[in-house]
Amino acid sequence: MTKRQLFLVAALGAAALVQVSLAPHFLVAGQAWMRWINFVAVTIAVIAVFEKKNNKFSWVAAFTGGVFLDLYSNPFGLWIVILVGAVAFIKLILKKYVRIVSYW
Amino acid sequence: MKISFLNGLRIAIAAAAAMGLVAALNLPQVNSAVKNAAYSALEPVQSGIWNAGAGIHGFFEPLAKINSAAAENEQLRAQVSGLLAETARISELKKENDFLRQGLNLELDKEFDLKLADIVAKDIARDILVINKGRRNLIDLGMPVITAQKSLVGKISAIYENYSEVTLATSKDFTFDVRVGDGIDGLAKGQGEYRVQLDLIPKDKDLKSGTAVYTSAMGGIFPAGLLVGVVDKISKNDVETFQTAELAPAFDARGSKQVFVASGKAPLELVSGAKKNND
Repeated sequence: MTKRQLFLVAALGAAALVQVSLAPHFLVAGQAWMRWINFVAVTIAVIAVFEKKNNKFSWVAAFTGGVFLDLYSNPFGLWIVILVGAVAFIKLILKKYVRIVSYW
Repeated sequence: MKISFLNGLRIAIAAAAAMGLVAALNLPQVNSAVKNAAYSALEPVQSGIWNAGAGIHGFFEPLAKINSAAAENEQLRAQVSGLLAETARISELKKENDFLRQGLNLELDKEFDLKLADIVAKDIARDILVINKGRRNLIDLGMPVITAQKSLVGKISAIYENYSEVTLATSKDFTFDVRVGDGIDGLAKGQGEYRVQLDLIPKDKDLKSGTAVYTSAMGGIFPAGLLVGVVDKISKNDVETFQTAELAPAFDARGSKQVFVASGKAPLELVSGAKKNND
């Protein structure tokens, strides 16, 4: 695991802490919208979209992020399944329907 | 892209190991030990973040409500004049109450065995808080959690060695008996996202906005007399047998840092005794 990947895992842990300890305090327009904005999921989606095609780190990130979120919810494993499923979905979409063309 | 046999085997072993780990972490004892260890390690950081959030929440709240401030101001002015008269009446009642308390020796700490706990986190999707008191502090399942003002927070729904989970009264599908004002019995239903609905109030009962709602000992979940909130928006329907209302909960998790776990003396013993008799 590279330094950058270790940093990303630490960032996922920090995002999970913010999600469970800071986000619950805020209402947007009187509604608890923050519960729908999942910082960990967003971070993992960004990693899955922008990592190189053959890189597998997003799977590790999804599992690790899932573990962090599952510490604060029940049953244990639900968030792992959701995040790994999300990475699989993003990878499938990128593989089947997205082609990045470079002219350089 | 073809996956070689060796790579396939590696992926299968990694997936099996991950599933085995998740299955092991769902065993109650392992789950409890792992969560307790994680909460212990993260508590100093989490407490800091939670307290910062509670402070910032108070700062931004007026900005979020600026549109309704004028109307709210009018409403509050009307309420103030009513409350002045009420205060005079309460002052008289307080003297009487103090006298009775001295006579009966009934203080809050006599009613409940209170344990002060810090809030450290909230469940991502549900109205469940994590507090820093657990089995080691003699916390048990079902214990009511209250504020210093004797408002209802919720009840203990899971316990670990040093931490517990509190299911808030606003938690979805959480129902309990309540008493509105002086004597209308009803049912409070948590709606999630810090909202509670009041239900099963007969239509012939005169329900007024602003009336205080307290817990009732009838269901055996909470002791009687804990403030749940005040009646907010009332909705009556000709078709329905009962009227419903939205409650403004007395406890606001977003601005709170500490709560009390009431391990109950007299009222809870009475409640559990009543429950045993019913069984």
